[in-house]
Amino acid sequence: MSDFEPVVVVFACDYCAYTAADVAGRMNLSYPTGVRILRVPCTGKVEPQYIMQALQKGADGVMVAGCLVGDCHFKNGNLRAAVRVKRVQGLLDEIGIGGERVAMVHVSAGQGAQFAEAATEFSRKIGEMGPNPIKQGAKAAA
Amino acid sequence: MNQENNQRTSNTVLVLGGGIAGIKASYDLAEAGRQVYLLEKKPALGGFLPLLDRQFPTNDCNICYLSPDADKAGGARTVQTMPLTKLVALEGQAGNFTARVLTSPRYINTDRCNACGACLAACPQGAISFTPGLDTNSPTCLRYPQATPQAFAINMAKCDRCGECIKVCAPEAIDLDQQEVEQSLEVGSVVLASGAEVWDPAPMEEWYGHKRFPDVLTSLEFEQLMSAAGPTGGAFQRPSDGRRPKRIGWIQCAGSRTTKDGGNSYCSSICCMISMKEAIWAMEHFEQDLEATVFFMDMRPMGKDYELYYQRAKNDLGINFVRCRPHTVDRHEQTGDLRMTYVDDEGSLGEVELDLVVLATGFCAASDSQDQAAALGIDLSPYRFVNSDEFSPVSTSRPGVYACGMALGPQDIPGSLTQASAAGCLASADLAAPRALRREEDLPKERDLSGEEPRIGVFFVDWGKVVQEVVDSKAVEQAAANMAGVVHVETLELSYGQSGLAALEKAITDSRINRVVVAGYSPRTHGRIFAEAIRKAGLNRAYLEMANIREQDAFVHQGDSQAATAKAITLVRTAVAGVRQAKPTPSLTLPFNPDALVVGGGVAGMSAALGLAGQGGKVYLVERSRQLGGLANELARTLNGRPVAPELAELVEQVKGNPNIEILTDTLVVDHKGQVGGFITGVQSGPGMFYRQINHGVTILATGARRYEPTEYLYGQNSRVMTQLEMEKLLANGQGGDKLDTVVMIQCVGSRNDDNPTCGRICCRSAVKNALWIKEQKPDAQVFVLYRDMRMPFTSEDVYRKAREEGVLFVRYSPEQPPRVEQSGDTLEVIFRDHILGRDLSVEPSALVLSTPQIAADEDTEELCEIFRLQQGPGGFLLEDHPKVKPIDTPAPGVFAAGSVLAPASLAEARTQGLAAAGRALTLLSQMNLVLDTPVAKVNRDRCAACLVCVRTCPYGIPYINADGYSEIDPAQCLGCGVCAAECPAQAIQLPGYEDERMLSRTEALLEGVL
Repeated sequence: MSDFEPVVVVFACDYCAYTAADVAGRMNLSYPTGVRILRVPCTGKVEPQYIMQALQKGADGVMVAGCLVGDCHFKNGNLRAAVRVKRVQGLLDEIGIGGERVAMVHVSAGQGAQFAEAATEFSRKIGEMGPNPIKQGAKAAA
Repeated sequence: MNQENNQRTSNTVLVLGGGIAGIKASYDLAEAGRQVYLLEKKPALGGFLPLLDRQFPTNDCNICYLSPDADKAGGARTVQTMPLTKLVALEGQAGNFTARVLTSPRYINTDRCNACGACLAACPQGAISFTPGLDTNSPTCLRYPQATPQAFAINMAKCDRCGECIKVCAPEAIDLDQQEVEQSLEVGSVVLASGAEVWDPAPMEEWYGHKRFPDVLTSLEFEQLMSAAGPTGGAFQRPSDGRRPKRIGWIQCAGSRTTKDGGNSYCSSICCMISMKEAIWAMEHFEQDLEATVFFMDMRPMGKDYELYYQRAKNDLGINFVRCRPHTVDRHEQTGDLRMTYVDDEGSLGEVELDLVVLATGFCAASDSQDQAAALGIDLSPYRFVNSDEFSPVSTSRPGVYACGMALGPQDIPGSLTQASAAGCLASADLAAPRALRREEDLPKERDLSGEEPRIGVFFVDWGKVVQEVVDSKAVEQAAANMAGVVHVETLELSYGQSGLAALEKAITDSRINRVVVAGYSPRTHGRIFAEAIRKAGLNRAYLEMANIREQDAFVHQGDSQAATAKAITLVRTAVAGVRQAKPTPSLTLPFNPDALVVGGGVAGMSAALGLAGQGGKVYLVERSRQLGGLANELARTLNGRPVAPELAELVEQVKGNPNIEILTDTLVVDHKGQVGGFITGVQSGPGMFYRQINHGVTILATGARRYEPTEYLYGQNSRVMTQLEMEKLLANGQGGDKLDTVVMIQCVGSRNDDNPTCGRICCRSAVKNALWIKEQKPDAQVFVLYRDMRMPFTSEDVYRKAREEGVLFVRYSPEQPPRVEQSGDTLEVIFRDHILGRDLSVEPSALVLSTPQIAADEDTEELCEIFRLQQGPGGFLLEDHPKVKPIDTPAPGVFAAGSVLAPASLAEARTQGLAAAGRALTLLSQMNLVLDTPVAKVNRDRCAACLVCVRTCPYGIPYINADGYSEIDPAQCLGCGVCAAECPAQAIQLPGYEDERMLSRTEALLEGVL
């Protein structure tokens, strides 16, 4: 399991988290190469099915990254996202994939270091959990 | 403003100073179709703001709110930023100035520098600095992604020309032989926004030990200590021994409100709020284990609703507030802890042990303000700030030169931004009539792609050295060429200048490309530029997707070339998959009505009307009463003793004499519909309630406030009890001011209590004004002012001092022990406690004057809010769009507000806000058409079940169920967050660019090969 490099899909809001990821780049910080970012206008746009689809397509973890609480550019989209993430976590627990494979984080546009740290930490955690069980299913089927 | 039309030929404004005031003025002007030269002495824009960790009263990082505006206007490319540049001389006159400016060498060519950081690492002398907000060693994080310019600068004083930086600079941006450049700029007007400086507490070192003791910091130093990107990396440690401070004391008025130790006699106005913000921050993080104490003379949270912030700090967060005069700070030899002595409210000596002391140092005029004033030919106040007056608060002594921000004196961000918009409005009036912005007809017709298969062009743009080293570009190009739908792969060698974009446009035409992927830059910084480029080539702006190879791949995976290359291919594949499904976003073109409606004919409304008149179309000024002037009609003189009536009369005359303003007095607004650019408002006029509809493009609300009618202290029952306004009238009419032997004034009547927790803001100044006027009419009169905190911002502190010198007695009372007023027979008695004497005093006044606030005109404001779909905030005043960064905008696009409808306002504030509202409105009125092309949510009516989920979830209340029974979303109002699309249970709503199938395709492409 030591050479397992998890693939993490990040849904990052345009106003804060996506910008923070850019800042992380400009600060020459690093995080694992398995972290792959998709831009959304607001985390309030992230639907539960996006998260489920990412897991279904083989992501080992999904991180939804929005603005700091109280700082959402669209007032409260990040709070809606947080509620949805909770809901998806419940579902994942039920079907045995594990709710911890999904996380909500909050960073401001300037917090490049915090973004890199969150992405690294989440990858590490997913690394410990091992690959998404769906993968084994897919491999077995093949 | 008095220029003849034929002289107004320039379309350019010179803005001096690149702090937030200068940036705001520039971007307002740019949005209004003006050209701007934005000069900044330092290597980059930003001013104080990037040095602040967070800002009161929201305690957020507000740059995230400001930057989209900057971004938008930056797209217009009409602001030319000139860093390291100062004004040398200004010749000519309003409408036709020649400005001579001097640019110091940066030694780095900003056109070439890609901010890769190689030179910073290579420089052995530390002579290279990054722009504020970007420097990882600086006290800030990158709070301002659009920091302009994104480039380094070399400090020649430290540089020994070793040439190491030249060797490592891939884009060959370094030029150590650059010389200073002097040039002349032709401009029509000037906005001075050069800011202020933080007062250096060195003269007080003996008392407070700043620099002597490492744990005595200034506010700004403390701010850096709190910052996650600060010197301690967010660890909250005191400088001396790295221990986390558990007892922190803030010393207010360090260097302000004093005539000693080289301090300033004025009040710095914002330090109380800054200290509270810092204390709240600390308290919120270390509540269990922190004692935060603010040592103060008067707490002066002066801005709108700042009083509530103070109450929260005191009552909910447990921050201690000690009213005292701080004396000295000492350091304990063994423990290293600090000991502060002070004289408390009752005159006794107090002592407290602290781990960390923060000096709330005020602000002072910039050290070069005199040179700059000389270059501009304008007058300064004795404090070396720009001299202005209550009636022309953003004008200087030279016509055509305006000022805003801290150049006028210390003030908060909303105040600076408001003045910036006001100065921009006046500066614009000196220019030629504005040219319409971005007209769709200038662009080629969009190609009709119906029936065409996707023909995708992938362009690799500006990879730069770091990316080239990490990512195998050949491999990525090959992979891209094999992706479905890709017909063209090209590397654009040039930095994104016009030539690079021209090559892109040519390839689109030559290869019949109908969808574009740009691989390299972040869409955050460069999306708009490439969207405009493909639009110029005849493609809808939505046919673009970007693969962020720089920031989100190469830069962060420098140690793993192989994985970074694979990820680059993945990112390009994802962009290709996404763009394949792109659909054009129709741009909605609405004719923009250039007329404006101003509701309310007080000082704010009249100022707004005059600000707009002649710069747009017609202005309709609607006033419910019979006369213009509002509450100002009842004022006799200003705090500085200037008569109000002549100035007010002149303002009314200007309005009445302006051919572009139609005045409708005795008129009420009754209904309102439409959207920005096309509003229709119904009004009823005169005794016959004659109804008519006004068509207009923008709306400014300036309906004012009303006077609080006191029920306290026998008001209305005893003829000697009156309000400040009534006293003012008495003094103005000579109705016996000379017979006043003893006058008692009681502050905060009807404010700062349970019924009205907000501060009246201007009642302290009214009291001081009238107290001095009484002394003027009868020098031996005894005047007592019973107060809770005397709130006298900036130079009004000097008037307060003068009142004390003239013998006015200021006696503090606590809300727990308010003054008592008793009447028996013919005598009126006021009993109050004197804290210094420690006993009750009794006075029989010839007049008892109650300082009552302006309060929200509740029912009227409520009705107004209903009609214009706005909201009321605390105390019933109109809620602005954002208390910090959009103080004059309302949440409704195209609707602005000014004056005491927002909060109790002084004359100068009403005047400034009126002009600012006009300035904000001009950003819209310059447009011939309103072109909306950002993706907005679209409803599929066949799927809509009218379940109301979208109506309830939209953060802006935009969707509604229309007459046909399905949800309708006004594309002119939707901001494109996509929340409704995410929540719609029937998936009847889609957000273009983020449709469900497109998100799925992206996800699949992003995860291709993982399973």
